[in-house]
This record gives sequence, C-alpha cells and structure tokens, in this order.
Amino acid sequence: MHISDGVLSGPVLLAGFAIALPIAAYTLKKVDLEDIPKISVVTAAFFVASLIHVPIGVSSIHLILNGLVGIILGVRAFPAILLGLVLQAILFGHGGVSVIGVNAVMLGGGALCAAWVWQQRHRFNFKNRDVVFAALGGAFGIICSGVVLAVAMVTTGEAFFAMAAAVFAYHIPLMLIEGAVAAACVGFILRVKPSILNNVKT
Amino acid sequence: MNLKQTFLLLICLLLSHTALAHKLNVFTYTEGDQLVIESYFADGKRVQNGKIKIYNDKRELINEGVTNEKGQYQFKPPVMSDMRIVIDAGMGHATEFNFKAATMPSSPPPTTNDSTSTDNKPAPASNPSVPAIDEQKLNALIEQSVANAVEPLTREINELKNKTSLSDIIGGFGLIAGALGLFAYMKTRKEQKN
Repeated sequence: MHISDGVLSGPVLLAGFAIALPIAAYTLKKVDLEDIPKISVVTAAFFVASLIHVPIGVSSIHLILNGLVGIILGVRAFPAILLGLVLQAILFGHGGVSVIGVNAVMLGGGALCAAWVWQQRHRFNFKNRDVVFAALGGAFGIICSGVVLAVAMVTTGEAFFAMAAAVFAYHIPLMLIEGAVAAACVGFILRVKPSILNNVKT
Repeated sequence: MNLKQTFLLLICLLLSHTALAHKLNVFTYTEGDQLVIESYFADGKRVQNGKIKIYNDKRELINEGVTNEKGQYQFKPPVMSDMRIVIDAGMGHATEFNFKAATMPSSPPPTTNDSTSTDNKPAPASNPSVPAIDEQKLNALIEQSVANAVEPLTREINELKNKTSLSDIIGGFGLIAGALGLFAYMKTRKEQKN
C-alpha cells in the first residue's frame, strides 16, 4: 500500500506534500492535551501494523489499519498517520522519504473517510450498529486510499483503465480484511472500554 | 489494561514476522559473463514480471527487460562497471539497487582468453612447471568455485541486512511517544502563556 521512492513523478510528489502539510497543520490544531496518550498508542499500532503479514493464497498482504485509526481518532488520525509514515520510511525503508506526502494523503485521506463513515452511524439505530459501521469504515478507508493510489499513478503516466483494474483487484481482499479487523477491534473496545470511541469530536 | 495486552500480543506477533511485505529486495550475482539479478519481496515472494531497467555509471540506459517467474533477470553487461538497477513491480512498489563491480567475486573478462584480464590479480607465474593456459583455466576455475561458495553467504548477509530489527521497532515506539510528548509539552506551555 505504501508507494516507494522513484515511482511517482516530481510534480505528483510535490502535490502530495502540498496537500498533506496543510491538512496535518489543521488537524493538529484539533488535538487536545488529553487526546495525546490515545493518539500515541494508536500511532504505535499503525506503525507496527504494516509489519504483520496476512497470507492470502500464494501472496501475502499486510494490514494498513488506516480505517481503524480514523474510527478511533477522528480527524486527529491524519497527523498520527503522518508520524507513523515518517518513522516507517526512515526506520524500515517502507515507502520512501520523498513519497511521505503522497502516502500521507493516501492513507490519512482514507482515515478521514473512515472517520466520516463512522460518524454516520448516529443516523441509524439497529442491533450491532457500531460494529457494522466499524466494518464499513475500515473497508471504506481502504477504498479511498486505493482511489488516491490510482490517481497518483495515473497522473504520473500509467494507463488509466489498466491501473484502475489492478488497484481494484488488489484492494478487494485487503478491504474485506481491514473491514473485519476494524469490526473486531471496535467490538472488543465496546465491550472493554467504550469511552475510547465515544469522545471523538470531529 | 487490555490495550497493553493487545500491544504485547502485537509485539509477540512481530517476533515471528520480522519481514516486511511489499518492500523489494535485490540480489545480484554473476554467472559466467552474465549478470543475474534476483528480486523478491521481503516476505520471500519472487517479483514476477517486474520491469527492470539498468543504467550504467554514465546514467545511460544499457538494458531493460522483465523478470521471469523466479524473479530473475539476466543479461550480459557490455562492461562490468558500476550499474544502477531499477525494478518496478507495479502498484507503487519499486526499488533501486546500486551494483558495484568491485564487490563481485569474479569479474568476467571483457574479451575471451585475453591474457591482460588478470592484470590486477597476483602474478600467477609462481609455478613455472605448469603451462600458462592451464593457469588461466585454473584461475577461472578457482574464481568460479569461490563465487559459488560465497554466494549463499552473500545471500544470507543480504537477507540479514534487509531484516527489520526489533530494536528499530522499539525505537519507533520511543520516537512516537517522544514526538507526541514534545507536542504535549509545547501545547501546555502555550496554554500557560495565554
């Protein structure tokens, strides 16, 4: 899911930073002092999630968890993901330093979409509503990230339809897994400490 | 604290899965006068149909192609110079590898049976009773077998180098806590001033 160094063209990389930095600055302003421990725990989870493999047939997929980060942190997910990406790029060579902007827009944008989906749960009222919306949010986070990935690749010069099809095929299993993981985590948190989810102000 | 337990579980999982998916690793070795490039994802999966481009030390494109089902691509470089190898596995996964000619255990002669190709090596004339042609053959043989013997070692070193270390992960946790702590500190100072 992380785009590597040397794939995207210069203007796309710059556009990534140009979009990511104002969003990061804006969302960072929304961070209250009492949110910080929670943000740091969730950032740590995001940071290590990419190292865990889920084998799928002959291949393997690693978790992204950006949807779950969005559900738990709301708009504060964006700076959390940015920090996680910076550390992944520097310590593991996962992604790349020049691509941090684009990757932040891709994964952080997905997290913001997931946060939005999660907020929509208040409009409905049915059994297991929160778990269902967590699954939707987790899956939706991946879809949004896939769209940003496709846009970044196409603006760099990949053929549109081939790229869109590849991205689509690649993200369906990931989407299902992320949805299931988000639902499981939210279900667990609801039983154990629901206040983690309740105090999200967006 | 259940979150704590969850993260302990995460760390335990990490200990058994210390490879990185979707990060590309490159490994090169020579086979005769051919340079073999092997590329695989960090989880061990071979990069199939990855686009390969090879540039020489003057940044000119000298060869390009596609990796086979074993993730390998081999070609005959015009000269064994330093090269930059770029592999694009699609979906935003790409890597660059700087090939250093000097690190290769055996550099193939630019022309066949050219006696000047052994220039930099210790003078082979230590045993005058053996004819010169045999010495050359012997040299080539030694070089080849040394290369074969060293190959698994280089492979292992390469794998070790690309492994995620636990200390990096723990260091990452520390950096996250530190960065957010610093942010909290600056925020409290600002609030105190107001």
